[in-house]
Amino acid sequence: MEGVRVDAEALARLGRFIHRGAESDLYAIDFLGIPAVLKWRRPKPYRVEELDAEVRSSRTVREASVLIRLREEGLPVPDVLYVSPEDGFFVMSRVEGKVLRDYLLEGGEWGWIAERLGGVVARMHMAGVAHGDLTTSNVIVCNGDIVLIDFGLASLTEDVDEKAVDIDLLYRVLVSTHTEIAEGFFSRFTQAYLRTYGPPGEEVYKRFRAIQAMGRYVSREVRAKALGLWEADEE
Amino acid sequence: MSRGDIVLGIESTAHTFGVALLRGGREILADVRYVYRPSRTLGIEPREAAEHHSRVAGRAVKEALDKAGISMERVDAIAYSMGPGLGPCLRVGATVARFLAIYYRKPLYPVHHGIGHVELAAQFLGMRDPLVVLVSGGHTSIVGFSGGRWRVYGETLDITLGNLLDMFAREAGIPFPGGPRVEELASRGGRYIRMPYCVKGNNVVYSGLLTYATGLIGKHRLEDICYSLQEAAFSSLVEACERALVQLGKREVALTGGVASNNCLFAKMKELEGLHGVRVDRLEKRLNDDNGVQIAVVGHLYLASGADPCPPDEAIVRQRVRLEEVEVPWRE
Repeated sequence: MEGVRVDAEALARLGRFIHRGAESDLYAIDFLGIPAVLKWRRPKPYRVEELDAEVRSSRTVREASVLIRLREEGLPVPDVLYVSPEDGFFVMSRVEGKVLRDYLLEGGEWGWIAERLGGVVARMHMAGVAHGDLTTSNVIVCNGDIVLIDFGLASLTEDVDEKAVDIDLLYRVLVSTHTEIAEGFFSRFTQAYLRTYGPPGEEVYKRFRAIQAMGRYVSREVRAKALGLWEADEE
Repeated sequence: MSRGDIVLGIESTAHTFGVALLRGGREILADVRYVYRPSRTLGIEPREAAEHHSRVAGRAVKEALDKAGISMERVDAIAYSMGPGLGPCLRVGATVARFLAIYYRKPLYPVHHGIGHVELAAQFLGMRDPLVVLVSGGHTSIVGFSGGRWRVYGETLDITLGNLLDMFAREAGIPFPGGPRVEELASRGGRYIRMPYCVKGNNVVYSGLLTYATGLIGKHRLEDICYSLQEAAFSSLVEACERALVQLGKREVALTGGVASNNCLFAKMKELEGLHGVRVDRLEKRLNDDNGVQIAVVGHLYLASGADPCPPDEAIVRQRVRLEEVEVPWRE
């Protein structure tokens, strides 16, 4: 008898297409009776085959490992049910809810979300995980709670820089996409983050301020102030 | 507007001293450029470049006016590149612009060089609300318009794509500017050598790639190294761009800046059309390189939007100024 190979294409056909993201397609499927999501990193035509295979398989493995680690810590992320690195897909439990981006754009109440998100991100960082793509598109609001999704660019790390990049990206997305509430949301987020994380969190926050000052063509004065390194001098 | 305003634009951020005359924000009456070539192969020497610019400045302005067949009296506004760029070079352009504005009593507009690239692409490609990928020696930025400004949604966290190619070329003994030559070599390569590939959110990181690729010189065919370097660098940028595109839901992508002329990069960007049903395009090579038209086009937009001109004694240059610092009164 031939061995049974679970194939992304076949699973996808049995399911319902949900979403085409930047790097992967999502399908709602029924996996051994469990409502699940198939996350499939399709090959990208702009990458040569060797590079493409490497990127897709390593990200699939990394994402699944990270999710497992976070579930062990009791954080609100999906459960991993099946992983197939060579085909660039894995299966996880389904989360029903609204994407935070849309929720905020529709004017949903955000105070509690900012607080909760600050706490969850702090605990994620404490567990040694940087999300890598912490945007409002990767948070689901459901049943009075939030769930973090899409750990495709996540890394298992204790690097302060990587964690600070999470904060930086979230801040940028708030300013660009949710301009009106950005400062209020971010300040409540930060309070909860620092409260949960304690002194190591302060270090991450300091790095975040430094990263903001590191972009190209930031004036010396702004950079110096943010880094607190030297007095602003004449250009 | 029957004929449209005429704006004189001066570009002098780096190696190019350019003077352009643009009518109605669209019609190029003149586009004169003098490009400084380093005497050694090491890249731009700022003071040497500035000396070059001062030598050609007067000639370039006169040539532009002659080509357009008009006198300074007919010009409605002066625009100059205020930064970011090399201080000594920028000062030459600003000095010429201030002189012309004072002597001929013309309104003066300082223009952000990067916004010049961005608006030139958007206006000339007829894109209303594009995601603009600006790739040059000075920028590697993914920008979109939101809330009154052009905002950076993703960028390099260390060196630019132009730096990466030029610096690699220099290490490989290829003369400046190395980008086009690396592209040519790459087109004759085809064996992919594993390279560092780094995307962080919507950002790219290139310095590790530079170090790694440089370390391979002499150990593999140069053609294959160039090929692999381009593959890794361009694919990561396209991926970052794809992420920003999906996040923002834009329908158009404009590729601009000096490196936009690279056909391999453009072909990869073009793949986003099939993947997301968007339009991806770029200008002809001449307009991707630094030029006076990109400055004039923004000058026109300021003028047409009724923005207050800059008093000549406040018309300074800034070596560092981020795109999103500039208020954009002509959009939305």
